[in-house]
Amino acid sequence: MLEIRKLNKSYGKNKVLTDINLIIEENKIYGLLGRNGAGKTTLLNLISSQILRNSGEIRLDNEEVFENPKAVENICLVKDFPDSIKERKVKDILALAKVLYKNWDEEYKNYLVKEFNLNVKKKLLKLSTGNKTIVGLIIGLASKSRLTIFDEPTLGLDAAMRYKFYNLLLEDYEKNPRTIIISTHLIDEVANLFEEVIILNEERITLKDEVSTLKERSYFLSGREDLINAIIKDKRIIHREEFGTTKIVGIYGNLTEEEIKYSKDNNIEISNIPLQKLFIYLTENIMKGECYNGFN
Amino acid sequence: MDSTKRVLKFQTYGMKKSVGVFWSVLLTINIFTYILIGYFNSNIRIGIFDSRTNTFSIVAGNIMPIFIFLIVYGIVMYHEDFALALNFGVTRKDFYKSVIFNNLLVILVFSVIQSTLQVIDKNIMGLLGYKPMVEFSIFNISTDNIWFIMLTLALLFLTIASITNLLGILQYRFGYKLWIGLGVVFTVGQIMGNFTIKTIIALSEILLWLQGKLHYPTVLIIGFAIIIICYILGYFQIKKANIKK
Repeated sequence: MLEIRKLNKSYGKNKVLTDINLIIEENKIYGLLGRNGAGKTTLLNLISSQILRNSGEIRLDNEEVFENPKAVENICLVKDFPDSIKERKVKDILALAKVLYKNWDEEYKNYLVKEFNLNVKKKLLKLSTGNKTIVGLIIGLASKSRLTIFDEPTLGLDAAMRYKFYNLLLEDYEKNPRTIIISTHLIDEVANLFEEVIILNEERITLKDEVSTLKERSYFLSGREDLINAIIKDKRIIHREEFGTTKIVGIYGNLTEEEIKYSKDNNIEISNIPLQKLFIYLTENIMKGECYNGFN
Repeated sequence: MDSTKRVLKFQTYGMKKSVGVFWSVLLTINIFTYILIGYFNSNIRIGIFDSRTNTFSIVAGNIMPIFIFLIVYGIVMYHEDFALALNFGVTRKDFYKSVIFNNLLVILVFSVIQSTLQVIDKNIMGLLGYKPMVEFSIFNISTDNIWFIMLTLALLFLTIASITNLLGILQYRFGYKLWIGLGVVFTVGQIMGNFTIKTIIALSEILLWLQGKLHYPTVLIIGFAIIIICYILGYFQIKKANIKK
């Protein structure tokens, strides 16, 4: 569906993205993860043609995206609104979104406004941070765009609203499958939504994999240090903690059946690493110069 | 509905309200001035008064607010609408095409209203006992027909709109740097060329003199040249514009 080739972007002398290669498939939910300043928003802005790139290609259904109405009308990027439009009333912004998005679902928008209990007569400026975010979420969901991108979609939302959004997103995704990219820092909350994860770090995409594969490949081993050391000697260690004689080790890689049996026999506890922790450990290790799936 | 039509609809959405409010205020002021002069014999002169010919026109004073409206409209078009349109998946080219169409529409509405008002004003001023102002350099209310006046005003407004459109784009792209740049140019001009208020007055007098001497076709060609140059320059600037926070 979306193909990015050798994409480069810099702001003046500050390089933000280097040689990005990425393929986004149809009808999948992607999580775009990265530390602050990793270039996530820049990448999303480039995909939606909101900023200019230095070099490279971004193609949607094999057509260049930039200045191509046929391509950009299929992309909806939900992010913080530009300051200049915050004087406008919410109902006007929603009315304009209705005019511009070709697949706009007005009935669904009305349903979402009620669900989120949003006062559409207020100016955007007068809304709380959470409610401003909700306006964006309504636009993203009601746009029914083939590629819907949410950049920090839960900014300022309380837990109840965040879970309402996740549920609505999944509900709508099941009824109307489309491609969704979510860039967020609240990884564990949305981990169950993601089918694939893309990690952007230090200007590059350092990992792109199915969430299930990532989970299968990453383990915490917890037990006596001397017993653990026997299994981890050939493993890629991404985390280490020690409490007296007890050691907790995070490994990235597969465990053989013998190793699992050995662990059980020696009271070594094996558990999956939660996605958020895995992301932290991987990015820390990537920063040290390791790349985990050789994507680039 | 294709993307160009959707952008047009998007721009017309905001235009109707702002044009409506602007003309409501302006017409109220015009009517209020007629009442002040007619009923209360007030000495307040809201309009244009030529002491040499002793002629007076109330609605001719609308030109300055129209210019100001077009400046604000040009800046808001990019400061607000462009950012929003880009955010909602509109291409720069489609947006620009619809800006030009939108400008034409605004200018058409303005020239129809203003030329009709000019003709009505001539009659009302006569009824109120004033000598109406009929000669406006580029057209004459008494001798020229309404279509000619309308087209002339449309050309004048479109020339202004093309300049303010370019100003709006430059303001969007360069922000405060544009005004600093203009300030520097003005200051340097003042220092280097002894650019004083007297010089500005002298220049404007030369322009007025030229306006009287130039034939209508020449004015027409100059007007069209400014319009084309400004819109082309504007396109080259906007096609490189990024969305701003």
